[in-house]
Amino acid sequence: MTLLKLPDIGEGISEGEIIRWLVKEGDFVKKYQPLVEVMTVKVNVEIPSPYEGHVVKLLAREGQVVKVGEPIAEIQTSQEETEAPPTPRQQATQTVKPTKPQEQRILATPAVRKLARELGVDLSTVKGTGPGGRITEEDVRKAASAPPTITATKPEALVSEERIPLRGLRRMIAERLVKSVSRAAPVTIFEYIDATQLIRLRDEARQMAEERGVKITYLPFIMKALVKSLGEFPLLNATVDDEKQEIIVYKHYNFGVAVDTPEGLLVPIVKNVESKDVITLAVEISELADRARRGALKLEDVSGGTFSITNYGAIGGLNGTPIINYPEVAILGVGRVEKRPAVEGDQLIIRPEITLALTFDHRVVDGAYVSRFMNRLKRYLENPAFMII
Amino acid sequence: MTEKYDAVVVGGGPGGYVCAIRLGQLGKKTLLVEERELGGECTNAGCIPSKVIISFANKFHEAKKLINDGSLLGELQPNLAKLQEKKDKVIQRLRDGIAFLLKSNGVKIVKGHAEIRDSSSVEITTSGSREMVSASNIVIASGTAPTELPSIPFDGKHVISFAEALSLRELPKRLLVVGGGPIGLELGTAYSKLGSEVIVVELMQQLLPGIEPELARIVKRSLEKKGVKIHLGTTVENYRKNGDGLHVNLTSGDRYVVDCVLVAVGKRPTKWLEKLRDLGVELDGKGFIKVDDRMRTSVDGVYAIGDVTGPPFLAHRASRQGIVAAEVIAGQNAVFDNRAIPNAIFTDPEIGSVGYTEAEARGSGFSVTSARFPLSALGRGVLEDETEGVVKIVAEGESGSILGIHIAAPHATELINEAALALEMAATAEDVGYTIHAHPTFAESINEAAHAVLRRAIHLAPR
Repeated sequence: MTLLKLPDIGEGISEGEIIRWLVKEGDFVKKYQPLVEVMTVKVNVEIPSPYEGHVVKLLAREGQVVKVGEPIAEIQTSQEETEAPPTPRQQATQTVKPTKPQEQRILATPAVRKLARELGVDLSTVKGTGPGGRITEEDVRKAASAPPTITATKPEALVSEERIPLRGLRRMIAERLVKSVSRAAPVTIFEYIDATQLIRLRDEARQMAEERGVKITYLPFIMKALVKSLGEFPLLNATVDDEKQEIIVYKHYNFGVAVDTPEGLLVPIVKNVESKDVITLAVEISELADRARRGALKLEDVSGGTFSITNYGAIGGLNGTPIINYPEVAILGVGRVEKRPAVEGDQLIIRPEITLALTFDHRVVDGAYVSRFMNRLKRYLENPAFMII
Repeated sequence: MTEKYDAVVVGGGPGGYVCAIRLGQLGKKTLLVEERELGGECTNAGCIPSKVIISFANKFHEAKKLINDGSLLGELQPNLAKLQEKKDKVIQRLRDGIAFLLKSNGVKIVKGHAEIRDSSSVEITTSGSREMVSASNIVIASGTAPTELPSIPFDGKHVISFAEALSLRELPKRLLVVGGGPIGLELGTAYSKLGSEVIVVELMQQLLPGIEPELARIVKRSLEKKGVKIHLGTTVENYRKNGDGLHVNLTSGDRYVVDCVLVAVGKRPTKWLEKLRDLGVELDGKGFIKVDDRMRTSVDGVYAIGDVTGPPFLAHRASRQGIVAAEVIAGQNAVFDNRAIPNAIFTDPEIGSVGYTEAEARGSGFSVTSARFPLSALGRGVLEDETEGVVKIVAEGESGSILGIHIAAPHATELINEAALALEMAATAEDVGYTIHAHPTFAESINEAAHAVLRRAIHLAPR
């Protein structure tokens, strides 16, 4: 019998949720035949069978979150089937297959179990961080101070509420964002941009683009301005490697673009923005967004980001404090374009403006650096012609 | 005027007296009612006296071996009357100790019969008087009675239970033991060592049912070496008393003439428990009291601990339950949530067992890795000429988390406590493997078995 474990999907993905089994117990599978669909933090993947053989048992149920390296199925490989059963020996070490769904085994010492009782923590809901998955005293204390989970049941008298399990993409989003805010030291700074010239340029480009059947937004221009500005402030086009305590600075520009989908937020990545022109970028953004909405993103579409942009202005949002797309160092929020009163010289004028919000990881860079960066970005966006100088 | 107590504990065995002491520690005004002697069955007719006899039998057996190999000269004759005197002294000393501890903790002790009238009143009949006491909490710890076989009912003289078997002043020449569980085998082994001809009859297909089968086989082999005859899948069909002894017919067709039959086929709830039903205390199908993990019965303020709550009938379990009950009564958030209740069986070799057997683990759905380490590969085993034994560890396949440890070895009843700690602490095979065990000891076999689970035992040849 061979245990099939959740393989390393790459991109630092450490766990996935079993979305759908594509085979059932007893099925014969060929090598590379897709076995199961797994949703990870970043994307859905189909796990192919590394063996040919019979599926003896599915060890993970749909909806279950499985860590990389945890067994998900047992397969009697064709090779094993042709081999004679091993003869028992006197000092045999043997592994026996489970015949019933496994009992839940809580790994905690008596003292920790007592603490859990005192703090009212249900240990079956606590994930152990100790050796071998043991629940530590700290885990229990953390669980005790955490807000109650959304699946908790309540007396039936209070029915004016609906309880929605935090599952699938929603759970992934939640975990990612919590990870970001708990690890990074986020600070958000704001800037008004005079959008007069940007609008003019966009309008002119629109005609050109439409001739090629492409709809163009402000986003590709902002991307180009970002490439120029980040080139001068490279620490913001970077990620943090927590484990090694290193900042990885990139010389290429892969921008994550937040896309609103019916299932929730996805962040596909436009790669090598520096080598693409505005129209190419427009085409690519629209393709990625479309794939995201159809749930057709591939792993490479969501991997390798160096910086992210969230364009809530496109939906009419004015301003925000974006959360960093961890482990990236910075994210730019783009608000809606609207006419506002502004002071020019000693004159009060009306001009179109965009509010930008940049959240950065203060562990990596300081406010002065980022303010200078924002000034530079502002200059490029207000005078797009500077970009070619 | 009725005296008012925070708690009345009915029964002074290892459940009841421990509960009462804990209640005393927690500042509760406590009354302990014991009809017979403090210490209950354990101290007076169970664990303690049986170990006095077993310990004596072991020493006798060792000396006999030395005589047989010529290294010791002379003749040996056990004096059971003297042994009984020693046994009584041991029991008296322990009873006195319990009484002293109870009193030091402010527990009042009454020798008498208790009847529970309602969930807060207990009627106590002592020699000559009857008294009603009021109790905010009642703890039932009154124990069980030995199960009788209809085919061969107790007569207290020739057909006896374990209690009488511990008080024999003469060695039975021929002893038939009905029941191959811990009690039957412990006493059967001891009397065999002292010179009785012993026959063991067990209804199941394995001695020590419930124990890891390999350990039971080791014990069986060892008994047979001593000349004990064993009949599995067998019970007593009928018997007849004659001048020359008891003629016993077994269901297997075998017939034996013996001096004494020890019936040790289990324990049953007493009639006294049935009266509790009228108070609303729920009993299970077999007549034992149903309790939750805080030792609460179905009646508020009434708790039950120990043998009255059903098997396993173990003193150390009763004591732990007693502590839980006392702490719950004192308002603490205590729960009987132990993972591991060790079994200690004083056979030859001794058996220590805790947690899941391999079959149980598999049946519960675990992916199981198991490994064994034989005493024949252990220095201490070889030097003591004790190579008929084994340590078997059952672990969860993936995590290596230990599910059960099963030991057949000299001092296994001591060794098993390390195993129980390992289970309670959620240890993995690696944890036990990386713990340095002193050399040369029998306990090293646990360390080696843990390494064997990880497929890297030092003193086993690779497969």
